[in-house]
Amino acid sequence: MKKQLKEWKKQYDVLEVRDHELDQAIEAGMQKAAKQQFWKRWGITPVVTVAIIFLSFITIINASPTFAAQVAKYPGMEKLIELVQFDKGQKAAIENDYFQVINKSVTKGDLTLTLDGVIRDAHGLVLFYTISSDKGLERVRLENSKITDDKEEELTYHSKSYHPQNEVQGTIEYYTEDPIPFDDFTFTTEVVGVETLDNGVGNQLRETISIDFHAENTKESIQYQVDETVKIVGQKVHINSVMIQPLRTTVNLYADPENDMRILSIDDITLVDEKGEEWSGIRNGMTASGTIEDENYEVYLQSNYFEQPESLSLTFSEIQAVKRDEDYFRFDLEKEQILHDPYDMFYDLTYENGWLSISMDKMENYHMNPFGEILDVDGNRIEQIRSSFSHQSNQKTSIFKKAIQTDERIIDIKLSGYPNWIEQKVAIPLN
Amino acid sequence: MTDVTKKDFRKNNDAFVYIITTYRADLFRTAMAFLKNKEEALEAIQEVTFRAYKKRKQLRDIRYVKTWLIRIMINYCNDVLKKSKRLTDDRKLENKASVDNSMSIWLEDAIHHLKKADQELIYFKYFHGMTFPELAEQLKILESTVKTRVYSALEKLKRQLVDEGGEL
Repeated sequence: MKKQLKEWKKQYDVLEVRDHELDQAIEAGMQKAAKQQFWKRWGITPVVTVAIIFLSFITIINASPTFAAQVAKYPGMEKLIELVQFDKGQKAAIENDYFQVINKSVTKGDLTLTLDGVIRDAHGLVLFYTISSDKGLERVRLENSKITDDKEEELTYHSKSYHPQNEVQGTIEYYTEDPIPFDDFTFTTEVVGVETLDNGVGNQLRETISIDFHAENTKESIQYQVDETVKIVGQKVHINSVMIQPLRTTVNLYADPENDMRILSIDDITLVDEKGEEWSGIRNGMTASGTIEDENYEVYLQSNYFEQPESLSLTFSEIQAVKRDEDYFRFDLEKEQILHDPYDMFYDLTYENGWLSISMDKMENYHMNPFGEILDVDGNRIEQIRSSFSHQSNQKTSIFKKAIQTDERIIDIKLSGYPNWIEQKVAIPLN
Repeated sequence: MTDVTKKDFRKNNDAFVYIITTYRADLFRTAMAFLKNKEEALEAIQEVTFRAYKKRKQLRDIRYVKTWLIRIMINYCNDVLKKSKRLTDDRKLENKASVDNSMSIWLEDAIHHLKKADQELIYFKYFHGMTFPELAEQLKILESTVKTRVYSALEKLKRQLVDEGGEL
């Protein structure tokens, strides 16, 4: 029995959390306490706070005239500006009336979920939602969301991502491998929030809510077959095709497995039109899928679907790469030593409480997670239950941390990014 | 932490935050054991900070602050679980199945079904590694009484597990 209890405890010895996250939570708790004292003193109701929050929104609305005009069509849609600010493709979809207004609300318990609208194309679905409640809520979020058709068949998706914008609004994005096979959708999700100002009971509210909606894809994708191979400092990259859809552009390319360098990432891949306008990678969401030396590798860019450029080129110039047979770190966890690092960029290895940490001199253009697969000395994969990674920077240093559970003394970690580049300008005209 | 007095803890917010910060990892681990997800565990830290702050004048002796905080955490977590009625949620078992620690799940579930006082003892003793003398001091009961209670809690756990078919 005691052994089992020990095992049980051990499971929680590795903390999947960063100190600053804990400190933030403590800070939030203190703020809550301070706020409550404030309310008590002044007897102000939450309604007043709502008014204050609204005032601060007004200043944000200063987008382009077409955008503003478009947004004005849908009452209460001003907030869309914020939700799409990092994505030129989604912004253009709204400007071009490709945003489908749903505006359906369902209330369960104390929680109301509104599906404001969606943008849908053949392979993607972006849902814009708002959560409201008569009660003051914090830490509001959606969980376990799913999309089903009218026969309750779940949509098979390739990626799903939550993009909460603030306490009440956000988007959820689904992307599929095959075209989405239906137009009548049911969105089912758990809506979760914690009551504020309830004398510290901290009730968690959780309701499962479903909303039906209809959304059609009316936009054909634009396909460019490229089939070109380019050489960058002797390394081959094959570009197969570019597919432009309203929500995003998919570039299918891959690095030649015969290259004598292992390419890890193409950092600045961009579509450029004749006027020099650029559509670069996704800034807030899924940036690529697959492994880069696999023929099915895909990189995603912001969409220029609604622009009609006369000419369009795919460009890039900076590629992260390391010598092929040196594409790994080797660490001695016991002595806390770096035994192999291809270009000796990293230092200060520590391994404590299941967290591995290494540092490098800060570089403005390097933020990627360098850690890939973890292997033992015989090259066997060391499976990890958790996949926590953290990246912190100060003025001079960047620190990369990864949770690793192992009893091995020597481990290899395959690189998934590395601050070493080969550089050469490449421009491939698409039309 | 010895230099923080009870008066500081009550009157001085920095001292209060300092104490919570000292035990943040213990609190977080406890929350994870109950709630299983990081977001909710962080929420719990927030809430426990808030509750502890409000109740800070009820702390009898600053030496007991760690057990006092963990108790608030256990109470909070039990509330959350009760409210969402997912003590033996299938989803949880399913999620955890890949981790191959099904024994721990049954055990944990059994612990969470104990009455509150027993639950606290098991957590103090086996999760936070406190010794019998420490427990006796913290809980202001005789060491022999602590032992009796811990062992009877263990007995209850064993019975539950056998009932559920777990091998021990």
